[in-house]
Amino acid sequence: MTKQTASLTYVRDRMIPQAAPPVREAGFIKWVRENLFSSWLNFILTVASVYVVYRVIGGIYPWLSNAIWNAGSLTECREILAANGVSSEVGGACFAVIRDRWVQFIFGFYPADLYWRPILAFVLFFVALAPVLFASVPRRMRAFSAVYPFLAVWLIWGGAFWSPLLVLAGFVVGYLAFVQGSKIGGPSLAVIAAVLAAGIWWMFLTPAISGALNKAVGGARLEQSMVTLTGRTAALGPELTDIETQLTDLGTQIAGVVAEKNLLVAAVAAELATPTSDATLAQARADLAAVFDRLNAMRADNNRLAIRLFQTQNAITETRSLLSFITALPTLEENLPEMQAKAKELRAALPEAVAAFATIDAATTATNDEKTALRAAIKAETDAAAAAKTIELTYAELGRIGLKPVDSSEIGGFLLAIIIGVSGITLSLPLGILLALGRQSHLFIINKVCVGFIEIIRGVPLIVWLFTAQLLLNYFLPKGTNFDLMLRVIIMVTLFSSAYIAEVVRGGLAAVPKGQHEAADAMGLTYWQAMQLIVLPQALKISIPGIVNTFISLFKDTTLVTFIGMYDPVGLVGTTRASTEWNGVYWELYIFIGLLFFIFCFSMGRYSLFLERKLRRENR
Amino acid sequence: MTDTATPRKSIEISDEVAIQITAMNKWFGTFHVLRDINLTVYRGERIVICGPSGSGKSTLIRCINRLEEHQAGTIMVEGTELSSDLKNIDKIRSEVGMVFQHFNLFPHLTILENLTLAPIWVRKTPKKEAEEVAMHYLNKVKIPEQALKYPGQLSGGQQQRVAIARSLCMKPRIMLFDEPTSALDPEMIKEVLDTMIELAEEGMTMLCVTHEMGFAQAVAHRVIFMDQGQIVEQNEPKAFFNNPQSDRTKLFLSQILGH
Repeated sequence: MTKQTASLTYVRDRMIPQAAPPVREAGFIKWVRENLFSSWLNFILTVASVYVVYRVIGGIYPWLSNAIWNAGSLTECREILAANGVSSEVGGACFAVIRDRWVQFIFGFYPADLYWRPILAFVLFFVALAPVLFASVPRRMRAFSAVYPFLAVWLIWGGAFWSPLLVLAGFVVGYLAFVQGSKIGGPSLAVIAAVLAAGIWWMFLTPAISGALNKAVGGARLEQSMVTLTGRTAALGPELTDIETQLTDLGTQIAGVVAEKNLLVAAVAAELATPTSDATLAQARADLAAVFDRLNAMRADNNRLAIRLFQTQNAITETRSLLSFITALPTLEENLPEMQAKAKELRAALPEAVAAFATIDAATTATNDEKTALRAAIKAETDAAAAAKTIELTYAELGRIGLKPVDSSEIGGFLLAIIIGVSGITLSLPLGILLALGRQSHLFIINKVCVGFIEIIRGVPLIVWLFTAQLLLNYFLPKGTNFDLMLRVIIMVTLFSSAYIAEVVRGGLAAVPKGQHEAADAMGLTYWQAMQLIVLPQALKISIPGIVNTFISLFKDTTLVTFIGMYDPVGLVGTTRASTEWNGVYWELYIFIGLLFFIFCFSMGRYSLFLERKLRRENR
Repeated sequence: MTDTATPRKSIEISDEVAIQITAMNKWFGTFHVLRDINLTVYRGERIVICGPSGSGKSTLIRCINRLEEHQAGTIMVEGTELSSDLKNIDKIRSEVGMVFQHFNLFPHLTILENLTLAPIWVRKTPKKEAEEVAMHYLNKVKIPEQALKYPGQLSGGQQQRVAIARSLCMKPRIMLFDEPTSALDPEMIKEVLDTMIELAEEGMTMLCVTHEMGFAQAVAHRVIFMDQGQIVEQNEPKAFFNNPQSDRTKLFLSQILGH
């Protein structure tokens, strides 16, 4: 008994100090043991993996290390490789194609003298993005973020400086209507009023105001423009001849250097076949490299001249046509009322049977006489409309204070991918959130419309929607409205990704506890306040990985527009390979495109991780 | 049980009606959860509602601020009738504060932001003023030093006190408590009850669903016992606890006080 009691009572008289762990349990050795060689199976897997990695890198490395950057064509790449003694089995990357064409891969066919505009828009994009992405940037900067879209559109597409302002004013008009509407009726009346007011502003008032501005400025400038334009045409003629002479000279010089190069290639080949001495070979190779350097410099000059030639030719055509329009303007303006009156008169005099028809095809039952009368009336109407349009366009060209317009079809490459991607991303997030809220709504019709929209959009491949945008959309729109293909694509991409965002956000909404809704309700917050302040911040936080995932896939999916005839980077691969110089190149181009896409997508992924970590730190 | 020894000073109940519930019925689907409820609450009155789980006591007080919709009868709160009119509902909700069993603080906002949110957005109070009011109430619930922390960093008792302060910031005329101490560890119950007792002393109209009988004896003017969706018995606390009339009440009290 006593013995047992003794063993049960125990009092520690000395505390044990902390000791270092055994060597095997700490540092690098522990890490290797645990992560690489923890069992026989893992040992085998580690060794096998190292072998696979070695083989893959061993296969790619020589190709990359032999890379050629200074050649004018694929053939020249191969000549240099051969001169360097690289066997055709190993080969080498011909990155010269990227050096030659990278500008086109970035900007597409955007006018070269206007590159500063998309570049400025891109730089300002980050200025606008910063206050949205990072809380540490002053909130006042958000005003710039709100204005940025209009600024960017103006910079990229050009036009009069008042056109973005008029579009922006539409939002202000809509907002004022919203405020008035909510004072008179409920929120639904306010929304309807806002949409109507903004719609009327954009559809009718904007063209009228900008037409009036064009006419005012254009009218004032008319005389002056005649003088400047005539002067310019006179100056441009000799300039064109000058450039053409320079180009011809340079062409001859290049041909001479190419002949020189061919001789040296042959010399190196001969030296390689029957070696005389190492020094001779080295000398021949050095000579060849020097010739290629000269050739490249000359070709760069040649490219610059070719661009100038193209621009000058364009300028001549433009000034000449504008001049002819201005000359014709007074007569046209004088005749217009008469033409319109005549059209009206003919229309009024039409026999009753065909009076309402707008096209000759519609009048199937008409007699020949009636058809003739209708034809005459339609012709008079079309002529009058064309004359009015010509006057309007002439004034638009004359009265534009702003940037030279660039057509959407000229935009390509990464510029196109970024425009579509960024617009799609910024527009699809709010739309997706609204769809997610709609899908949760207890209001039957809203709920079913949202569910139907999401399921239909999600259930059909993006490429089908893009073809719809390209081919079908115009059938559904009123006749005469022909809006930009790029705008249509942006709308389709936005709708497509908003359906995915909606589902991601719905998951986040479902994860917010019911008690949060109840607490918000109990405090007297309205539905929209509760959503905006309580539910969405929590739901979106949960949805960040999914949302960013959708954004990344949207950005990569912009490459699909190549199938509807737009020149995104992948589309430009075809253009490049169609040229005589680079026919046969492909790996290098795809590596370049892949790398650029990777940089964008990887940054988005990193930002998502940053945001998740930051929010987790803020509210555990 | 909290200490019930110290007698609480009592403020006179006025004869103005704060809440008037008449012949109110509610169903969850086909389940008749509240049956013919008639209840008049006077301004300044403190009522404790108790009863076994599933007796409809939580549902009753959730009907008062329309977190649950009743299907028959009328509920008048401070002279406004609860109907499907959203304006009335929002008006009543801003006059009636509610404290939940699981606190329902907003985890993405700091304590201070939790407190100022509704005053700023519902009452349109300027931010600065709202923050002053918030700090006043945080002082009152004795945790002003936690103002800039997030709810997740606080203990359960602290969170519930914040929740009470959050309701008070709206300067409500009526406070509803839905089992405010049921989710708390025993040592935290006291701090929350003390806060509630202090509130009671200031004359707030209170409806409290709770099983804290000590609290009921200390502060309540009236105790209501509910079972199967009906009010079975109501009385002033002393008579209710010492001399229960119905058998259901006796059984309930013996179960709850028996250990």
